[in-house]
Amino acid sequence: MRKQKDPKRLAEYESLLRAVDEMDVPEPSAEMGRKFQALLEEAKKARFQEDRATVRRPSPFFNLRFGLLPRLAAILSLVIVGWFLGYQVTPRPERARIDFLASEVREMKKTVMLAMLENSSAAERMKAVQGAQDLTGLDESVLDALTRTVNNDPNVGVRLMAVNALAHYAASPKVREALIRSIVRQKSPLVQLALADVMLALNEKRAVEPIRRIIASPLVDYSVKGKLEAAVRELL
Amino acid sequence: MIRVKQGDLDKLAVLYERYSRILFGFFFKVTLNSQASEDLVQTVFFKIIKYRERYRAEEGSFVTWMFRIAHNANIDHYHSLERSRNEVRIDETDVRSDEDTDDDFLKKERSRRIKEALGLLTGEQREVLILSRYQGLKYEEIAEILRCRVGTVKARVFRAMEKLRRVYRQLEER
Repeated sequence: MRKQKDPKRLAEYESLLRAVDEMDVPEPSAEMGRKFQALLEEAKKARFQEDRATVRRPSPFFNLRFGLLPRLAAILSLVIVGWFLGYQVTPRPERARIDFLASEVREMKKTVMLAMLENSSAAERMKAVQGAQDLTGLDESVLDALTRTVNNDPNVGVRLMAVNALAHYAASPKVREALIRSIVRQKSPLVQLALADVMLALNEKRAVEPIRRIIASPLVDYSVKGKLEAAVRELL
Repeated sequence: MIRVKQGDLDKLAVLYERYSRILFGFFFKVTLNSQASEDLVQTVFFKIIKYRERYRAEEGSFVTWMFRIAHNANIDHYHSLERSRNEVRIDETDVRSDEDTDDDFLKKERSRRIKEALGLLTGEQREVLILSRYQGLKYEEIAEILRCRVGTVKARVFRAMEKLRRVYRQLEER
């Protein structure tokens, strides 16, 4: 900076800076002004459109192009279409396989239930009768097993449960027949009364004769006798 | 500018009226080319519109902000020149006409020579020198525009002055 203190040099600087200040600068062309006007008009137009878009813009939730609702609707539609197509596209052998597996499970449950009915524990046999009621579409072997239980099981509780289980399938003539035949075989007054109630519910007149035979028996309990006579009167 | 920032774009015409010639003169002395200067003025106003939201009156004057945009436009201009490998084209307008007096001629000759001398400076040197002579900008404001320290601005101005003096003398002796 020593040079700046030199008066001659400082004067030289002054002179040069004055020359820079006074340097001829041409006039900008009219084109520059026109370009600016065009730029300004464009900016104003863009701002106007921006304002209009802001005013008209509906809630983003309902915005047709970017709203949340249309997006949710689109997603839901895709899920439904996807599920439908998936169901249609699933090969038939696959469905048959699923049906086969379901019947296998049912068979297994039936086998377990039949085995349990042979169990020495009354509680296990009760579980088996309960399991028989849960099986859908009872078949002959299960109905036969339940009938055998009603007629032969040593436990009154098991026999009562079996009567109730069979009563659910009383629409079947074979089951109804089996229940009627069981009446005379019962020694337990509780099972006799349960069967009489089932007969009343079914309005099964064929049960009158077997019930009369129980009433006629000298071993019948006095209170049971009165209820059975009432059942016969109702059935007639 | 505050009105422009708030969306009143018509007020930009007022700013243009007030500053377009100043900017044009600044760019002309830096680029030494009138067409490039017109384009750069256009660029500055385009950026003023585009970045109007970023203007903060509390952070500095409008002129400082405008010259910072001008400085950035200048940098872009020189980069594009470098890419296209073009050199600074100096307008040749100072031709003596028959009506010119000797005084006029000397003035024109001096103007032509100073322009030629400026052309031999780097773009950065021209810019800092011209800024120091414009709009009464202080060194602090120039430092703000160039994003550097005040000491750096002073050093650059001094170096630019020295070089200008040297090349001008060489041109005179030629």
